[in-house]
Amino acid sequence: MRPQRPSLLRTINIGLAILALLSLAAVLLLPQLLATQVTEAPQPPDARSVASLELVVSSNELGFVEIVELMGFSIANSYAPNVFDTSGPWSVELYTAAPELIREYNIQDPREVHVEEDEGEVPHGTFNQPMVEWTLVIPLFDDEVDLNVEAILIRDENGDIIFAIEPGIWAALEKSAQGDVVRGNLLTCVTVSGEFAEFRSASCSR
Amino acid sequence: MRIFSWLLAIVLLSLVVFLFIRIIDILNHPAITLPPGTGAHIFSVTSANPPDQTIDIVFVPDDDYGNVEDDVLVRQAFVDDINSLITNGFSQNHAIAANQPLFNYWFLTLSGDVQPGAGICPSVSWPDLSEAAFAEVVVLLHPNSLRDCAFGTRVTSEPTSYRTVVHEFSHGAFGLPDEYCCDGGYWDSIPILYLSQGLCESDPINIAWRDCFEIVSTRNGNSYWRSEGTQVDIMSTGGAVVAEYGPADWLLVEQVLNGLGTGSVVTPTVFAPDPWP
Repeated sequence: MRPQRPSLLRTINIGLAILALLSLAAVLLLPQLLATQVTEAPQPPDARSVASLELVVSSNELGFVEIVELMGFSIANSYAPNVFDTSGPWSVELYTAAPELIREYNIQDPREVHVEEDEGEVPHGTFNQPMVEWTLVIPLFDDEVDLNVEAILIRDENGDIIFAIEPGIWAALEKSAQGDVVRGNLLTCVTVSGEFAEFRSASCSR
Repeated sequence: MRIFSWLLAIVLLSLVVFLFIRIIDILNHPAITLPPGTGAHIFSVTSANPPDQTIDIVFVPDDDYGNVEDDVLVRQAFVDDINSLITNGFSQNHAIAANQPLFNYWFLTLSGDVQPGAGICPSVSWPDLSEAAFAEVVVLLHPNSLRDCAFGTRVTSEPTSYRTVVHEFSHGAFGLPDEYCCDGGYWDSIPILYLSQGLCESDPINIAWRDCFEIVSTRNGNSYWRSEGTQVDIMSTGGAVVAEYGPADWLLVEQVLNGLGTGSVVTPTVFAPDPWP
């Protein structure tokens, strides 16, 4: 009987080793995240919200913005993108009804398109779209503090105003967008030959 | 021989216990299937902190993946691609890897559609992104091969375009300008780009890396002076490698991360042109 023990042990060891390897393989092959194991994105615990502006920006052949049209407007209870500290050639200004400047922050030029290069020396090619549909999400809160936004301005890379929503228009949009997206030709801002509209000017009309 | 058997048994037992715990964890998870009836279409891949304290990247599936919402195998394939992009793309950049808790990755179950377009860019149909309003950057992932484009904070990408995604993400999330010559997106973005040589060469902020040289934009004819001499950083170079940020880039990245208000921003130990790891 004694000579059989090493053989039995060897068989057990080999079996254990195979099981251990299979288990190890199972552990290693488990996905990092199982698609059955996902959790919902959280909603803010308070009233903080964002305004979403669906805009169409049209430029002339010289690259100047000529027309900015507001085609959709909504306000939703949501966390906001963290935009107040970013760099960018365009800027957004948030105002109270007074109007008093609350926040100013920079954004990318929405007309700019980056075209992927295949293994090239540079990251991408770049061009401007003459007409672009653009959704601008504006934070209406800073953390849990309501900014009381009641008017906005958008400036281009030259600092010229290309789009404005005056307090009266903002209030009307806000009222009609309660829990819904308002769509249509809501506001049109026209700039002519590089002479740009002033805030509260008649260049923006409904 | 007997010791070896015990060791093997212990290893096997450990693995079995690990698998058991993992399976129990999965079974006990509150969202083992997508929550029915909540109307939610956006879910976490990795999220350590709420979106107001993080940079949030939302991945959207192309409809070529199939039904991500209802078919768990399709969803798994999509999630695996996202994980690969995080591991081989975002996590290869030291500044992002060192500050991992400040980055959340989410996916949408609503599909978009990317098709070869009539022009140089693809034709893109975005799904309703209202649930992703908090995202700094939205990436539409498509499994088929085509030339991708980035439109502001919205990007199309193949799951293996590791360097491209990190570059475009850096535009959208941090507002970094392009740093290659000569058709990129440039603006006065101190301490990366300056509007004159004098401003570049006299700014004490950039003295540690200053190597000012001129970029003349072929798009508007304007001159910009770049403070970093290296061409091997994520905003300058093409190719497959996910390069690092330069020290000037980091100052703008750091400004955004500090703005999140967590007070836990980690300065990377490596800057371009040095590779990491």
